[in-house]
Amino acid sequence: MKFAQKLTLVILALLCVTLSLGGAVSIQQNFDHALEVAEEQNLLAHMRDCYGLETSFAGEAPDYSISRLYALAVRYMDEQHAAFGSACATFTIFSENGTPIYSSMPKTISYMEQWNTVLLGRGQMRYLMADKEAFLLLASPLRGHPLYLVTAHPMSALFEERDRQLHQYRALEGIVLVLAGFAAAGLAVILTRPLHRLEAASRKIAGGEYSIRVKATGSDEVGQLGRTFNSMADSVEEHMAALEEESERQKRFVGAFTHELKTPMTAILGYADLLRSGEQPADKRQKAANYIYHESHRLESLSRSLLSLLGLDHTPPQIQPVAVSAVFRDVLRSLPTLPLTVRVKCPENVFIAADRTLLADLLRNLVLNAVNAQPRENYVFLFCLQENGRLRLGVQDTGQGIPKEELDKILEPFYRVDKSRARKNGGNGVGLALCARIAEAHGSKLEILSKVGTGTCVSLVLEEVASC
Amino acid sequence: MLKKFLLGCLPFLLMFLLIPAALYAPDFYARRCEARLLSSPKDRPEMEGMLSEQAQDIPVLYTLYRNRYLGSHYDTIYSEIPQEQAQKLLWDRLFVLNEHQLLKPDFLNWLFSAIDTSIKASPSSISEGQGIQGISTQFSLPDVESLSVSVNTFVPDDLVITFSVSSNLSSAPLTPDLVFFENFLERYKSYLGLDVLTDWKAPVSGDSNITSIWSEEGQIYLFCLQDWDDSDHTFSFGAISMSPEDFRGVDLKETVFASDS
Repeated sequence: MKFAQKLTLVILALLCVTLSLGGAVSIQQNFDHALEVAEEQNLLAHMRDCYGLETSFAGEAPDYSISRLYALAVRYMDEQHAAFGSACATFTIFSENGTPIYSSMPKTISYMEQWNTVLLGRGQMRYLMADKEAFLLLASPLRGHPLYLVTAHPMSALFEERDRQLHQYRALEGIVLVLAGFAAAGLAVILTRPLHRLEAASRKIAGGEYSIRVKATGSDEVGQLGRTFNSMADSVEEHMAALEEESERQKRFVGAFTHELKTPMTAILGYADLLRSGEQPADKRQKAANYIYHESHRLESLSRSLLSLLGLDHTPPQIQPVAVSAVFRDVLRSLPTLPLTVRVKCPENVFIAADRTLLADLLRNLVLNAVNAQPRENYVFLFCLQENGRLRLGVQDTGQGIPKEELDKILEPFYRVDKSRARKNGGNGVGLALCARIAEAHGSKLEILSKVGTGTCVSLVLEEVASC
Repeated sequence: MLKKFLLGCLPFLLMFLLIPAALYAPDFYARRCEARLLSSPKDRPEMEGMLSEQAQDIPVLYTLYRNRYLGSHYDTIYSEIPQEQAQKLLWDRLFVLNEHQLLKPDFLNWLFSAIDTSIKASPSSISEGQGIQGISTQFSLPDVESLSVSVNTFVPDDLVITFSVSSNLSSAPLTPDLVFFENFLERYKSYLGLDVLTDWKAPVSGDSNITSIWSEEGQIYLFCLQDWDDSDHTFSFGAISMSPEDFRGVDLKETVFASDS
């Protein structure tokens, strides 16, 4: 069942219950009130009849003649008819042993009904439905006489009025329910229309149309839901784009990795096959052995770098306060013999929270990259600068620089700006990717400033900490 | 599939049952209430201004209350009676008042004498009904222009419930000290048998000519009045039944005069 249908049925059901209860209680209360008013009026009329008959019978005590009492009652009834017309009550006069002396009651009200009213006593009264006519029966003793008066007051008009109200209310309630049903259905359709749009948009997104958005207006919950949906769709689209980009990157990585493996392996296979094919001249054999050795060494270096890269994903770095100067010393100590000098600028006694070994690897890689960039000057610059309570560590060179369009790719594994030169220099293409990953593991990132023909500066910023 | 379809139809089916049920629910409720109303007796509503049971046991009180309820002229026959008969009836009443020491002997002697020596009398009227007999007579005397006497009596116990004398005789002894015994209203209350009522109060009246007491339980007001101007003298006493609401709201003097008529 659709939500709009549920909403319509619920509204209709609530209306049914509310209108029914309200109508029932309201009409019954009106009826009860009308009865109370009529009871008071009829009680007054009853007492008036009591007093009138007591007065009429005043001279008859103590020797009551039934015929005389009957005549007086007839005279009283005639007077009442003359005064009040048909609105006057009908009554029966009983002797104290229950013998009816006079009665103007309708025949539909039986003797037993009347006498039972006498037996109720003065404090009570009763309603009677006789031949579809409603009566209020009241009984009282006639003071000073051994007689009882029972009066019957017609109440049918009140019952008929109540029935008329019920009938009228039923018709009105029916009309209201029909109109309310249509209104509720229309309202439900209007209210659920945005939800339909959301549902359709969700289906399209599920089908791959990530650019679908819904029109979200209004400040109510549905409008808010639409806006949240759009935000979610934005996130999904971004995430999917990131996934696609990641997928592309991985494809590139696999391609590059394959290529990186295939080239040396092909050469190794070639030279190995040459050595296997027979006795070779000494120089040729030496060349083949050297090539196999160096390419194997490069493959071993590549696999170590890749293992380091993977290791960072599984083993968190051992962060602890370390002196920057100590890290720089480690870097300088680990460098091979270089064709140029490394100038160092580092303030004394500054400390950072870092994994000393990893950070030294990072800076070492940067220095080697800088050296390979063929600086115009005969040095590269390893520096540590204080910036607003933080420390910027990096390497600057005066080399060829990196084209702007390459900047966002050079952190990918195996990506090289100048592939032939890099390979010739022994680079495996994973160095900068490893540096970026180490910086990330320290809560920082590599910042690369480069201009073609001027040089490159690669740095990262770390928090300065107190000494250990 | 069929089960799912049937489950889907169920709410609509319930709604189609609910709507007629809702339409006829007020009828159903009304019939239930009606059946309850018809099947068992109901307490009578309290009637405001009803005389207490104790007060109803005092015949004169109950009769006055009942007559107030029915109206003063209900079932009452008015007729004229001869002067002699009216005089005799008046004397009977005056003897009763004398016997119970309500009016002073000098005043009664003067009244007997004035009635006895009247030279002309208008036709006397008598009213009978509701247990009350009323006589009203106007006499002409040699030295006065007129003397009016009216008296209402509760017939079963022969109790005077209102008595009024009016005269323009300047020498007539129509002052309270000459007419009424001391503690007249106490005597009158005992005479009427109203001592059993315990809530008598003397209302404050702005008119010094009226002395009265009131019992809320008996809804009865007893008064004696003396009023005069240059030539006319009036005195009266009586018992008037009135509801507490009427007692608080009415001008007592007007009520007293109205009761005389």
